[in-house]
Amino acid sequence: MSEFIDLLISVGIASAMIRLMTPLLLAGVGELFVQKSGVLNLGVEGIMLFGAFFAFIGTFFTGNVGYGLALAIVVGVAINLLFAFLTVSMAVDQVVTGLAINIAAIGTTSYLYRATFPYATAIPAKTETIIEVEPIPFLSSIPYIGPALFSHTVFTYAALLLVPVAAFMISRTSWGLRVKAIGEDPHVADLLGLNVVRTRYFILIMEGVLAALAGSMLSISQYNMFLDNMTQGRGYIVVALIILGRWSPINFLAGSLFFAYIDALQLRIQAAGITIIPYQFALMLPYLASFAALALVGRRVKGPASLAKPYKKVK
Amino acid sequence: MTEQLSAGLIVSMQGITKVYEGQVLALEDVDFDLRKGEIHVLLGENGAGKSTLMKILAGALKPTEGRIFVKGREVSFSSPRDAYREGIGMVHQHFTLIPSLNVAENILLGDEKMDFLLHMPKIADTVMKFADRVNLSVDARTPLHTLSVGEKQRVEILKLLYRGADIMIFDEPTSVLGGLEVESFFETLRSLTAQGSSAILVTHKISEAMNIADRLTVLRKGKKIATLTKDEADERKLVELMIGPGEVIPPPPSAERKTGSVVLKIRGLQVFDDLGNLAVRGVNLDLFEGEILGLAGVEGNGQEELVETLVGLRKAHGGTIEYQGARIRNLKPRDLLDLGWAYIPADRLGRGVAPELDVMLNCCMKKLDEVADKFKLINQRNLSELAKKVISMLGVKAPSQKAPVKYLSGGNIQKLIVGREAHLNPKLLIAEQPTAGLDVKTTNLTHSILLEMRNRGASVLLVSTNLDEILKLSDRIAVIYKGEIAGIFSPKDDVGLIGTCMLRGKQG
Amino acid sequence: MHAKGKTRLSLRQKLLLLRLGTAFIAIVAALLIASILIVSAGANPLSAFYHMYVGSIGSFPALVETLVRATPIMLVSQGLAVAFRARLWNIGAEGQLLIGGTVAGALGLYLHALPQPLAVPLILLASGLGGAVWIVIPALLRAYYEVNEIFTTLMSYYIALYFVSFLLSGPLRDPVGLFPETTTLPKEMMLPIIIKETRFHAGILIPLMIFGPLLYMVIGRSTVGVKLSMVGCNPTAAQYAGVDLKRVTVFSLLFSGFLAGLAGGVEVLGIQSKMRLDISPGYGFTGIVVALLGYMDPIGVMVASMIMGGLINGSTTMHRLDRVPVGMAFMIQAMVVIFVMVGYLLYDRFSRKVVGRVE
Repeated sequence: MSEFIDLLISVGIASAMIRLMTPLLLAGVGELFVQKSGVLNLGVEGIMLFGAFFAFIGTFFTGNVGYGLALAIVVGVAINLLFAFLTVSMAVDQVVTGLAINIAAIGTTSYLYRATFPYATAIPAKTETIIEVEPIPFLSSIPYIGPALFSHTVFTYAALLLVPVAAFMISRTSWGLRVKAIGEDPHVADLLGLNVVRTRYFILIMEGVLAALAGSMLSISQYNMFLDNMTQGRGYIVVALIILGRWSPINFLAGSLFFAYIDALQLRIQAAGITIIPYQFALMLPYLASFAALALVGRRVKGPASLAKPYKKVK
Repeated sequence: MTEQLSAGLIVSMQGITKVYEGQVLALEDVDFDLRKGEIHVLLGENGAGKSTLMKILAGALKPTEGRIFVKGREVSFSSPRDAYREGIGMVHQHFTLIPSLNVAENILLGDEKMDFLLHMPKIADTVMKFADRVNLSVDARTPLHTLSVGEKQRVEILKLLYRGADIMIFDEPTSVLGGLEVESFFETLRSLTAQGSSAILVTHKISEAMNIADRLTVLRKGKKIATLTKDEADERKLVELMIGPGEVIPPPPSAERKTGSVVLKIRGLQVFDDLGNLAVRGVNLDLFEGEILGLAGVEGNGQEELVETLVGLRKAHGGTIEYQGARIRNLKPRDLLDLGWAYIPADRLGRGVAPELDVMLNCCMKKLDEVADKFKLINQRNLSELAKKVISMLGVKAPSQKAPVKYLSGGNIQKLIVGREAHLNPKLLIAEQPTAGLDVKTTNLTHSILLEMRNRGASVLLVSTNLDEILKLSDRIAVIYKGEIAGIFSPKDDVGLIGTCMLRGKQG
Repeated sequence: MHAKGKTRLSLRQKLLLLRLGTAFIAIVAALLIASILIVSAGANPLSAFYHMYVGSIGSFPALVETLVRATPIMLVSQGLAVAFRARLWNIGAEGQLLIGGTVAGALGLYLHALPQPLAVPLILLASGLGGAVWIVIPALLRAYYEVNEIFTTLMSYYIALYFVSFLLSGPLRDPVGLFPETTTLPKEMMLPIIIKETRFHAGILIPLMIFGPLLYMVIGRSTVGVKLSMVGCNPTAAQYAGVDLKRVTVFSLLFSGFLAGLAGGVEVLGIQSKMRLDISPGYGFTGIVVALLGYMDPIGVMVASMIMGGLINGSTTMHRLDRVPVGMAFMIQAMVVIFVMVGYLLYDRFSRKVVGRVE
């Protein structure tokens, strides 16, 4: 019995949960603003995958995670600029464009990986360095809480900080007010003199940076390698969590905590070598949980009034 | 350009031409000017180009050709923001307000110089003080969607003033207001111009124009016809200028009426709106065979929710609906066809057509089974013939029957919908703003169609914010006020009485 | 009502040409990018593209192999074309395909008592139903509770992936095999080969002879097709035209699941002769690309499937003969789908011009 409790609650699982939550938060905060401005970017999954790949490549060849992250960000922003051009400037369907980017991301990264490492499908290539964990002095030595909360990379701390910042930006700043207006009714916002196109571009560029960083967490923080389709639908889950959280950063944080916990739990079930549960069922767990959450909480959700509707200014 | 200033001209638009999307000529070489402190009415039919001209002045559209001078300087606006910098602000026909935000936030949205950090209590306070100063008191913390139309308009005006606009443009400001609200709006307008602001008022209502204008400019089919002072103008002359010579308006058909039995019986109907407020509070209403029942009321008094319940988009919370003696429950949109009902929605793109599909299919979408064989395969010839009939009802102009409907103009889409619904030969028609966006000729044609339908014995529920239309067509008029039927009138009753009922509800 | 000028083409033909043109541009642009990558990998693009031709349609056996490759893609995309028309985004077709394949691999071992002409169709039907069952919950959630099907179908793909992986390494595993796969099916359980000495099996005819004509009639000619499009572009207006939204939603999603499942079944009974986790190099996702490339048109998706099958097989030949990295097929698909979006953009721009305007 105590073994069972240990499986469910422990410092290790808490620490893993925070670690696994980091990419969700980074990508999620970006996507939250994107959706608040009335754009649905399913392509966040693809940008994460591109981010994971290019962070790995950059780090592998330079031995410096900084270059890896920079490369990932450049590619992430470029992809979202393409998305912005198609959907914001040219009013192409947002859902279809997002799906297209995700499919393209799987194809492109799979190809480039094979082209770069012809033999790596047998033995994966590994980077020598990853993003260092930087325990916060003093705080990290608090028993239990220290290792769980205060022994992570700077990106984890940043991600956790980003959530209240996002909430503040939305409800307490003029910029947040404008973004909300644009997401509710771009035609009205336009008549009020707000620049719908420029605001959406800006937010999408920000999302490009954040989602690329999120992807990097997978390849050069949680692992030291790249695997085909290594995001495994996390971008979609991020979008689902935003919808389930009714576009509130705090609710989104709660949802991410829940998902990350399930994810950490399934890793532990595998690691603990519990044979009653086949490892495939452990792997399935996060998806079953998301599915169930959607089925129970995802009914008739009403988001920003103009979400995913193409907007074209009359000239 | 100092001579302009000395002539008191605060705005001068010269040779304005506008071509939409490189195809549609909306304005052709139009001149327009505004003097300081005057109310200048821009008069014209729907589609005459009034809104386009004003959107250009307000920076929402760019002219294809032409020059604009404001306060003596030539300007070129690339956004409404630029126009605001010159003191020009516009109240659009459809308000530029965000329903989910509160009054203060909405007023603030127009202000480009707002601080990055928002301290809402302080801002609400500032806004309310400002409102008091200009005699337009509001509660700044109220969520916008709870306001009445008149209050929303006040917020719009406040927004302009808060941004420091001294040249104000109002596009069809009275189309959504009841009689008393119009009067109070005009008073506000006069007091503003007395304080040195200048105003342009866009309308198609001649009586109103004569009431408020210092000067009038008439547009017709994208061209300027004349500019007159109030003394030079009279109503007959303005009608001629607006409609043009030789355009004969057919007289409304004779009002022969066969009274029948009650077809639709609504008792104690209660319906919630989207926010969970009771919008329809126990409506009792009878619709007779062979009558047009006009449902009048100021926008936002529950008529939308009532119609949505009747067409199956909203569930009733309480009460009953009986059709031909049988109770109907849980009505769904697709039941309408089986019941023999037709529906002309106000939201034509949202409810009326499938924009990506072609004209033919949109004409026939409610009669697909009639143009298909027993294997559900569509017979192209039948399809095309039926489509032709629908198109000819009101003369829909389309590049081709195969063109996607989204490429048609709003007026032509409306014609298609009215034609299609009329061609259903319905026993009951629910018509919401059936003539919105139509020119005078097509409006009259639509009215004839509705009357013909009635003469055949069909029942029509006509929902319109245009009281003139209701008075012209209805056999009986029901006024809805705060979710209740506040009175049933005859079109021969005093208009003032009906207007008061719309604004104040039940009397005595 | 006539378009101006004496044009010989009707508007419908012009729009069709515009679609063909934009789809063509998408493929050519994708191949251009591919040739840049071929050069950067140190290979000769001319030789590479020659071998791509040889490997896809350059000989009769190659052509047959292209058809073999195109078959599952075609089935998946035919199903998706129906769902996408109603703007229902089933993106979990890969999962439905795996379930269909598993049903076939398992059932094939149990039904060998039945005669082949009975057993094979029965198994295929079952694999289609397996795919449909896998999408039942997302379909019902979408129809009755407006739960977004994009997420539920994607989640159900991962659930299918791990579930099938479990079945193949546990209950359904060939007891004497080295790999997690089902026992090889007896020859009688397989789809018969139609052209000797090739892999041209009877399953190739299913999308070509059954679902192709069926969809051509249903989508292009029948009221059902119009109803699908109406739901896709305006569900509210569709309801006023008497369309049962829930029925269309459930039907079209289930149909797409059925065809994806069938694709898995056909692949197992036609080619693989056993179920393995890698029977599909992502046909379920390629099907999405193809449905979009083919403008969700019954003939369009068939042609697009064969083009995609050819490109995949041709890329393999390129890899074998020209030092072009393995996985070029992935890259070409990726570029095709991006340029399809650009094609949509061009179509939108030019269709307005082609249609013209009357005021």
